[in-house]
Amino acid sequence: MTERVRRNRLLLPATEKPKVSAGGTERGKVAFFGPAPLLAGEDVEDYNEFLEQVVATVKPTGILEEIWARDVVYHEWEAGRLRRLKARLINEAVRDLLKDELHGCSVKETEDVAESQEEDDSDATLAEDNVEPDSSGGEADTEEQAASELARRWLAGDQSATNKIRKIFATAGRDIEEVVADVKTTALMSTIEDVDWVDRKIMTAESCRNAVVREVDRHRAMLGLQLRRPSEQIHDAEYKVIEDRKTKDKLREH
Amino acid sequence: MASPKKLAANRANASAGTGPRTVVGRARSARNARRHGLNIPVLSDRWLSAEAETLAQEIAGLNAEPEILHLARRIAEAQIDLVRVRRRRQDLLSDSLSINRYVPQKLLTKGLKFVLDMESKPERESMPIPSHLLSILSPPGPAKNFLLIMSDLAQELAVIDRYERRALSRRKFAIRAFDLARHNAAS
Repeated sequence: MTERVRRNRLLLPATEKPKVSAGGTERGKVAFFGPAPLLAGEDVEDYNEFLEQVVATVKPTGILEEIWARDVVYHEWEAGRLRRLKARLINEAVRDLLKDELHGCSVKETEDVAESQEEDDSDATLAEDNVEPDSSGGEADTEEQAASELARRWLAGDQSATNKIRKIFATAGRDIEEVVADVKTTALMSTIEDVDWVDRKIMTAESCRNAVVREVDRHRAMLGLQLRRPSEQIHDAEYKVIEDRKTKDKLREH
Repeated sequence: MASPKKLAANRANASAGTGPRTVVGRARSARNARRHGLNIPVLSDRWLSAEAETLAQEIAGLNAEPEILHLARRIAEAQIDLVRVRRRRQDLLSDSLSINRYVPQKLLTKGLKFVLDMESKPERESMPIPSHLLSILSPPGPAKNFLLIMSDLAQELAVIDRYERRALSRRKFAIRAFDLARHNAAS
């Protein structure tokens, strides 16, 4: 198999349909590995890059090793997805709790912040989140939206949002560090069951990946034995046992 | 032993049964027991068996011994089965994840029941919405949404996981047998 053919086979995009040739061979080749395990929001380029890295490291020899390489990527991709999910779960909980804190802290300050944000770029962010500005809604809704937006910006590491939050809490006589520590603790406690479930799923994916790696090791050890035997035979044929003449003569004399 | 007269009467009565009569109806009812189709052997499917055979040829290599080819077929069958199972899982997840604002089935049922109950009560205007139903109105974040979907699909995913483990196990032992046979043939 040429390098180009191998590369094409391994890097097939998830959305690409198998091409049916006259003999059905191409279709068969694509079906060996299945589609890339991508869900909505995951990039096929990222997946292919990861696959390429694994293939470059493992250097699969033969179709069985190609299948295993794909399996390793499959399980590792799933574990990565779950790790991201865990982080997002905690972040979402932190954001919601911080929003509640902001909402209940100072109505006026939050409103001011909302106004200043509207001047900045609230249109763009609202459009991004598919949140339609509520023209008829009450003050509470606007206030909540503003608090939510501020919490989202803070989570994204926006320094101006951090400064605004610091100001809001200072006005209410609270320290931002304390509030954030409380929020994080509560977020962890509220998501502990979900996080535990995700952790178990990550462990399953990792143990599956490790099982595949063990099989590759076993297979390669077996292949190594097979390759060693003929080379040993070649070495054996190259050498002859040379008898020591002096010793031989002495033995005859005795 | 039933008498011939009784047998004839049974047959006549059975033919007057209310089962499906049209070809389409019969074909549909024939698939009643089918849920996911993952327990159908790969070799029973014309397309999948062709794919398995192509893969087996590639695993065994050119001019392979019949025994080696037989073992390669076992690997190929398990691999194609595994691909089928994983494809099924991906389809299931992709379909469910396409819903941006997912409401768990149980919660939806409770919500509908509450609305129907409320309709029949005169004091419905002043009735507060129970706190556990308020989550229908406030959409969860994407991560929570994903977890809700996963927990709703837990039963189906568990079945798929079981098929995947079986296929993986079959493939592992098939490859071991294949490696051993090749090792023995080489020595």
